[in-house]
Amino acid sequence: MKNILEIRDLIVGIDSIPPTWILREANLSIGEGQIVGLVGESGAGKTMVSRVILGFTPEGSRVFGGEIHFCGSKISDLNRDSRPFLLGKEVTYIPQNPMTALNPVQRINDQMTDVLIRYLQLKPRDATKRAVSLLSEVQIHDPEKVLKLYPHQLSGGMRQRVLIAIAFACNPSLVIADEPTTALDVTVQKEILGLIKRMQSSHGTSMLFISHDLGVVSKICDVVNVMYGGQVLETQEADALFSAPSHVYTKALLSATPRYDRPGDLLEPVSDRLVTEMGKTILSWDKRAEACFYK
Amino acid sequence: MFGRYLMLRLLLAIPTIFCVAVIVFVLMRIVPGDPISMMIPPGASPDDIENLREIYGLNKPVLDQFLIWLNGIAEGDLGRSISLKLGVGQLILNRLPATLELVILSMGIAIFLAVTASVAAIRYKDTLVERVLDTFTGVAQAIPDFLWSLLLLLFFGVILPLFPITGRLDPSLSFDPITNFYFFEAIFTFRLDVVWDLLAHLALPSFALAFPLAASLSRVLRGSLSEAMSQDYITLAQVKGYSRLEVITKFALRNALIPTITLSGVQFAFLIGGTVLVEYIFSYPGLGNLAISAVVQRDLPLIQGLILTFAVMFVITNLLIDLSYALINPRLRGR
Ligand SMILES: Nc1ncnc2c1ncn2[C@@H]1O[C@H](COP(=O)(O)OP(=O)(O)O)[C@@H](O)[C@H]1O
Ligand SMILES: [Mg+2]
Repeated sequence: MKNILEIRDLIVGIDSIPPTWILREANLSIGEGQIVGLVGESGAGKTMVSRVILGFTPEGSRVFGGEIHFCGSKISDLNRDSRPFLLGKEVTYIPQNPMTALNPVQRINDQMTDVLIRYLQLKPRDATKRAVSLLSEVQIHDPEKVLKLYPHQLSGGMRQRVLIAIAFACNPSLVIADEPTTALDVTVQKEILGLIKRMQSSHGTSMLFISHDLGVVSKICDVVNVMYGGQVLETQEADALFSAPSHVYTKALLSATPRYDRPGDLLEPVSDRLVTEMGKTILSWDKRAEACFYK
Repeated sequence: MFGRYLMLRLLLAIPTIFCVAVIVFVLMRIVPGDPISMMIPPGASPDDIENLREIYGLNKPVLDQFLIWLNGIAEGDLGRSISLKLGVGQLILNRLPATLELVILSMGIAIFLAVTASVAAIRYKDTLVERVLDTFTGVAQAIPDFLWSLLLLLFFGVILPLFPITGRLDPSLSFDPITNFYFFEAIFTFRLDVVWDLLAHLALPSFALAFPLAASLSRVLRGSLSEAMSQDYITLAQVKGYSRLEVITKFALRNALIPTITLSGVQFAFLIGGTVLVEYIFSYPGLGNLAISAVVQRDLPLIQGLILTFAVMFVITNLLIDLSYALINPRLRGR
């Protein structure tokens, strides 16, 4: 299978002395038409991975090493303007918090049609027609009415549906969803997950699905990457990961996650010993890297 | 819903204006200086003075005077000017358009400068441009409008005589307007020469008024803009592929205007007060100039009428600001 995105040994840090390492030789690839999960606890560097791809890295950060390839062409720096893809058209983004991600002073119509007009050169009227069909696709009833509303007139779930519709508007080749269900309550969460999966397969889009929740990832991803301390520790097909995890950290994570298929199991927190162990590994990596980059 | 709110605001304005009226009236009678003594010829007898007092009703108790005045206002009569011997209402109406034209132009310039400067400062954050703009803003704010008047007058009226420095319109231009809104009338009658001359006369005073206002507006606007730039919807706009300038002007600006309008309503209202000195410096025939001569002459009815007019303008400005606030903020708008 062809990979749409490949990240190889990516090292990113905040450029201080010594640097604050955020990604420590992270590896990740996204196959065409796949949903690839990226899981890990908070602070693991998941958002940073998405930011590097999109070109929105925090101030002062720098790529120290490694490569990113998009459809075979190399992304050599963090500069957004030098992306080999059209941001907003070919690569899009579903944000974490639907409550704050829409522009409060613009009607839904304007927020949906702008990309259609900009990238597909549609006339405003045709763009609105397309927006209507996109909204029905994300199962919003009465799309004509919703288009006339402002974000504050919609519920969180509705707003996330709108944001999903925007992300798929121009038939992108890659959608990056950074914890798209974390801010929603559980009942809505399930619907949105199903929706994302459906949209992805009907549009034939590749997707990077970021979450801290193994349970969520297990439901929709083809391949899962487990991340810790800026490194991808393990990459497995979703089924294999859950039946036969290879890394100790993944095993620990799995036994700390409630399983729908094994309701009787007791949960076990990640042990202190393991945490100390992982911390040591990271520390030795940092020492080695600093010796390399700052002699 | 919003219509009701506006009505309420209008009703609430009535007690405000009433209070202003009371304060002005009482104050004018406490401060030393007697309007009659300003108008009598030297050597008038005490009887003459008494007579004059009676004519202008100044011999009655203050409360009676006040009630007579209020009664007059209710009937649309602001009394007669002592120094100019004309109806106060007529005098004010004649001068009001000139001041309104000045105020509106100044506000327009100030808003334009403030928006441009803030957008540029955010667009070129952490560069030389931002620091230069910072300096300009600081200078513009530190110098009050009357000092700007003198500076502009000196540099662009005298040293470099680009603009006329007194009056409103060159008298050699034959222009017989029906209203006193020269500017609007000149536009509607296609008298471009008059429009041009009016603008030339307005240039220096309106920039003098606009600079400090623009500076304080841009302070507030920049704060709100940089706050808006850190919001999630800005990230989404960036990820949609908009350039930084587009993100600022199409997404952040309108959101930033909401807090800016609330925070800078007072500044706009202060502009009206600022016209007094600036009009005087440029001999601009507006309300401010009239106010100064009224004060010099201790012309009580005229002063009262003028201050009342200023108060009403203040209230209307605030009302317009509220209105624009609601226009920009969809959360306040009824459907
Ligand atoms: N602007 C920044 N400056 C310094 N460190 C940062 C910055 N942004 C993120 N980090 C660090 O990078 C690490 C990864 O962050 P993030 O990618 O947001 O984690 P995740 O999304 O997995 O929770 C964290 O340890 C965080 O402290
Ligand atoms: Mg995150």
